[in-house]
Amino acid sequence: MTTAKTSPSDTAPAGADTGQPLLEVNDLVKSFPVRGKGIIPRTVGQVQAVAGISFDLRAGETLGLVGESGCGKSTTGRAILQLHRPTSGSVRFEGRELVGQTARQLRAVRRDMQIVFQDPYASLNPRWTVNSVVREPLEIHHSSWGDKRIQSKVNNLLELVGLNPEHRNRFPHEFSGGQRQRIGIARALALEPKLLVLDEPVSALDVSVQAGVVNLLEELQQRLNLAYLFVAHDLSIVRHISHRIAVMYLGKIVEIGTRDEVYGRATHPYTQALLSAAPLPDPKAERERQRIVLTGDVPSPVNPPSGCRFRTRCWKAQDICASEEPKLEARGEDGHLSACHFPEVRPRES
Amino acid sequence: MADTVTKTTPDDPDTTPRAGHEFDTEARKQWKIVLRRFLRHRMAMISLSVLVLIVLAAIVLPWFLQYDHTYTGGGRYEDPGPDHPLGTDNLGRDMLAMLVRGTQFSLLIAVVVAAMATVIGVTLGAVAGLLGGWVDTLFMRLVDLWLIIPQLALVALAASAFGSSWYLVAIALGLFSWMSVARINRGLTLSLANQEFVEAARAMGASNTRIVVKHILPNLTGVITVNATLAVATAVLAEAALSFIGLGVNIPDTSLGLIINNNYAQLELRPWLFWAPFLVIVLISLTVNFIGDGIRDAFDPKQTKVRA
Amino acid sequence: MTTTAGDLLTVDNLTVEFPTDDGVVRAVRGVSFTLRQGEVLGVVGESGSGKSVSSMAVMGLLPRSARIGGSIRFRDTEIVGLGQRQLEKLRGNDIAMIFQDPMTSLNPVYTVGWQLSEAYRAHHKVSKKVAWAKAVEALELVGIPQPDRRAAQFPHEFSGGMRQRVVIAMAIINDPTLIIADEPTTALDVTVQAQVLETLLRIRDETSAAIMIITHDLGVVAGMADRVQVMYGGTVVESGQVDAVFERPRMPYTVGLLGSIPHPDLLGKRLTPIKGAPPSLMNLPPGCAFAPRCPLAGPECDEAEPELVTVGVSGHTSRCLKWDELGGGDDSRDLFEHEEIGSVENPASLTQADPELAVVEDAAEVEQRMAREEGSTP
Repeated sequence: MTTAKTSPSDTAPAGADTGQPLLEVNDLVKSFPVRGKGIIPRTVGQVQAVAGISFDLRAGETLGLVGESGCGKSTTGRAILQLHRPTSGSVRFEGRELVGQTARQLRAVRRDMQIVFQDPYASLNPRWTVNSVVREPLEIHHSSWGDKRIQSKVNNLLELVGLNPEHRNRFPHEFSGGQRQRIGIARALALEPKLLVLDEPVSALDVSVQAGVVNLLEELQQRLNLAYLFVAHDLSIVRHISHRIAVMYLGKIVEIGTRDEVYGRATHPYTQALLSAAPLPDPKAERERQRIVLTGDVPSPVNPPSGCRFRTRCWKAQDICASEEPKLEARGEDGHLSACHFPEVRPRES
Repeated sequence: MADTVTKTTPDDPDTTPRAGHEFDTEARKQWKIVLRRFLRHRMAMISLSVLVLIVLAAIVLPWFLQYDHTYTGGGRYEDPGPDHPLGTDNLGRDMLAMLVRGTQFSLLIAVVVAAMATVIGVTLGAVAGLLGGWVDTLFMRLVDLWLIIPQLALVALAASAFGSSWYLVAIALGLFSWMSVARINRGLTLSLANQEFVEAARAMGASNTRIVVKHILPNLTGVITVNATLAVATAVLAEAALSFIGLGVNIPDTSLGLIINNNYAQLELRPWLFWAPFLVIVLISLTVNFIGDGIRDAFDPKQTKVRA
Repeated sequence: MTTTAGDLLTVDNLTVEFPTDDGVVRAVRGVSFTLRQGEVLGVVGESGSGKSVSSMAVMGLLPRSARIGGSIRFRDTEIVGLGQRQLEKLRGNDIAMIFQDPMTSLNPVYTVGWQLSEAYRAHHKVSKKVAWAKAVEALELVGIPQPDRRAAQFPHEFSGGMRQRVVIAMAIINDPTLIIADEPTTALDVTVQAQVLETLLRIRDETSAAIMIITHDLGVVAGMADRVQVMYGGTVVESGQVDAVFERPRMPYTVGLLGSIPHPDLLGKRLTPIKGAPPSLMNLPPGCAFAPRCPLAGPECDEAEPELVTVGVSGHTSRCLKWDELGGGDDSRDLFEHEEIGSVENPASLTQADPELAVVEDAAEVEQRMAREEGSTP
C-alpha cells in the first residue's frame, strides 16, 4: 500500500501551509464480523468495509470521498473519528495517534473533530429542543462556562448557520430538512473543531435547499479555516466543493488527486465510468456525451474479487488484473495516484 | 414515497407565537406537550374517568357500605334488594362488598405485576440492547427459556408450596410477564443506540451514562409507559384466569377471578352474580388499554403523517 | 385543451384534494398537459410539489378519501370516475407503472418468471408455457443476461439494479402504450442508474410507448425527457421543451432550481439556492405559491395566482407575472445570490402556518430585537 501523499495542488486552499497535515490516515482497515445463524451466533467471517486506505488532509482543505453505496466511504469517516474502532492502521490528528486510545483519552480530541450526518431527521434527538441540541456539546466540554455564556454562544451558532435564534425553543420537527441540517452543523461547530467529517450532508435534502447548505459549508470553511472530509455519492456536488477527491470502490481508494486531475484527467476506468454515468442538468451535454455503461453490480464485500476489485465490471480487464492487485501510485502524465494496471486518460468532451 | 410531508397539527392558537417577532424564552417542556395531547385524546379521557371511578369505588366504598366482606349473616342466595344491592352468595356474603374487596385485590395484584414486569423487563432489555455481544445473547436466550417454561404448572406448584395469598400470586405472575417488555426494550435500545443522534453524542465525547440517561431513556419513556399500562390490563385478566381455575388467590384473600369461580354455576339462575365481577374485569382491562393508546399517541412527537 | 391525433393522454384541470383532520390538503391544483405517443415527459419537483399524486391519479391509484376533479383522458377513456374493474383492465395493460423501490413491487415468494407470466396472463388468454416464453422475452428486452435461467430465480437472488429491470420487464410485458415511472432510479447507484435509464429509452424506441418520468433529479430529465414540466406547491409552474426550459427558464423557481445544482460551468462560483421551505399544501399563499421565496416578487404576486401563460415557442409556458424580466442564463441566476452567513431563516412550520411571515431576515435585526426583548423583560 502506497501512502497517498499528493503534492500541493493548484486548487489547494490559500490558507494551507506546507507543514504537517491536520489528518494523516495510513493503511486504515475496518472489518466487521459476519455472524452465522444459530442459537449462539458465531463469527463466520470478516467483511473488510475499509480495506487499507491512506490519505491526508490539511487545514482549510476539502477532500471529497466518493463512491457508490457499500464502498466503505461512510465507514471511513466514522473510523477516523473512532466512532467505529479501526481494525488496524493509523489515524493521526495533528501528529497524535488516535487508533487504540481509550474513550477518556479521545475526549480532548473530540473537540477538534466533529461529524455532520446524512439524515437530518435521525441525527437530532426528536425530544430535544433546538436549543438543547446545540447546547449539548458545550455542556459536556465547557460545563464551567455558566449558563449565560453558553446561551450566547448557542445564539451565535444558530445565527451563524442561518437560523433565527428567537426560535431556539422549538423542536426539530418544526423545521424543514435543510434547516434541520443547519442545526446539525451548528451542533458540530459548537466546539470550534478543526476538522468536520461531512457524511452525505446534503443527499437527503431537496435540490433547492441542498445548494444553500453547500454554500453555507463553503462560507464556514473560509471563515473558520475548517478542514472537511466530504463523503458523498453525488459527483457534481463533490466536484463543486472539494479541493481534492478520492474515489473509493469496495473498500479501497482507486484514484486520488486534485479536482481537475480526477474530473479532467481520470485514469482509472471506474472513475471514468462513474463520471460518465452522472447525469448533468444540461440537455445538450447529455445528448452529446458518450456514456460508459458498466455491466452488473458491485460484488459483495464479504467475498471481493481477487487482484483488482473492479476487474469483474471492467472492460479493460486482463489476466494480470485477477492475479495482481494494482497499487495506488503515480500513473499517467500528471502523476496523480491511480490503482489500475492500464491507466489511460479517456478523451472527453468537457 | 417522495411526496410525503410530515406535518404537525397546528398548536392551540393561544400558545403558538403567531409571528416570528415573539421572543418565546419559556422553554416548552416536553411533558407539557405530552400532557396536552393526552388530554385531547377522547377515548383515553373517557377511559381514565371510568377507571378512576372504579379505583375510587374500590377504596372509598367500604367506608359507606352497610356490610363488609367478613359478613356472612345474609341468607343463602338472597335476591338483590335494598339490603343487598347485588344480593348474597351461597355463604350469605354481601355480593357488593365482595365485589369491592375483589376489585381491590385484583387491582393491587395487577399493579404489582406491571411494576415487576416493567422493572425487570426494562433493565434486562436496555442492558442487553446497549451492551450487545455475549450479554445480549445470554439475556435473550434467558427470555426464550422463560417463555417455554409452562407457567401454569409452576404457579400451581408455587401455590401448593407457599400457599396462595395475593402477593404470592402477584409475584408468581410478575416473574412470568416481563419477557415481552424485555424484548421490546432491547430492540428499541438497539435501534436507538445506532441512531445518528446517539452517534452524534458519542462524537461529542458524551459518556455512556449520559447517553443512557439523556438520550435513550427519554426516548423509551413512551414505550415503557404504554407497556406498563398494557401489563396492568394483561395482569388483571391473567389473575382472573388463574383464580378461576383455582390456582390463584384463595381465602381469606379474594379477587374478581375467585368471585367468578365461586358463582359461575349460578349463571343461569342468578346471572348478576356472574356478570357483575365479569363486567368489572372487562371495564378495567378495556379502559387501561385505551389509556395506553392515548399515552402512546401523546408521546409520538411526529404526530400524523399526510401524503400530499 | 383540445385533443389532437396522436395524443395519448390528456389531463385537463386536474385537482386532487385530501380532507384530513386538520384541514384540506390541496395536493394538486389545476394541472393540464398532454402526452403523445413515443414522447418522454419529465415531471420535476421537490417533496410535496404534487408530482407523485398527479401520476397516481392517472393510474387511478389514489385512496378513496381523495377528492379528484377535472379530467384525465387516456385515448378515449375518461379515467376520473372509472370503476375499479375497468381501471384494472387499463392498469398493467395499456398503462404501466414503475415505482421507486423495486423490492416492494415484487412478491418475494414467487419466481420472477412466474410473476411476469402471471402479469401477462392477467390480460391475455394464453397457456402458461406461452406466458413463460413471453416472460423470458421481456427479461431479455430489459437486458438481463441469461433470461431463461434468471426467470426461474426469486427476487432476492437479483441485485438492486437487476430487480429494477425486472420491474421494468413487468411493466412492459403487456406492451403498454404509457409507462409512468415514479423516481425509478432514486434508490439506485449512479452506474446502475445509467443502465436503467438506458433500458427505459431503448424500450421507448422499440415499442414507441410514451413515458412519464417523475423525478427530483434535473440531470435525469435533461438526459431522458423531450418535454419537462416543473411542479411547485401542487401545480405546474413551467413547462416546455427540455432545451427551452433548461436554457431560458421563465419562472423564478426553475431558475433557482437550476442554479442550485452544481455544474462544471459553475466551478468556483456560488450556487444560487432558494431560501426558505416549500409552502404547506394546507395553507397556500394567497397569490403565487412561490412568492414568499421569490426574489422578484412584488405586491401584485400576492393578489391572485398567476395563469400559465405562453412565453416562448413550441408550448413553453410559465406561471409567472414577471417572466419577461428573466433574461435567462446567468443574469437571472444572480437574482438568487445571497450570503449564507448574516441572514437567518424562520422555522418552516412558522412560515408555512403564516405565508405572510418573513422567510428570511437580517441577522443583525434579529439580534437587536432580541436585545430589546431581553431588556424589557428583566
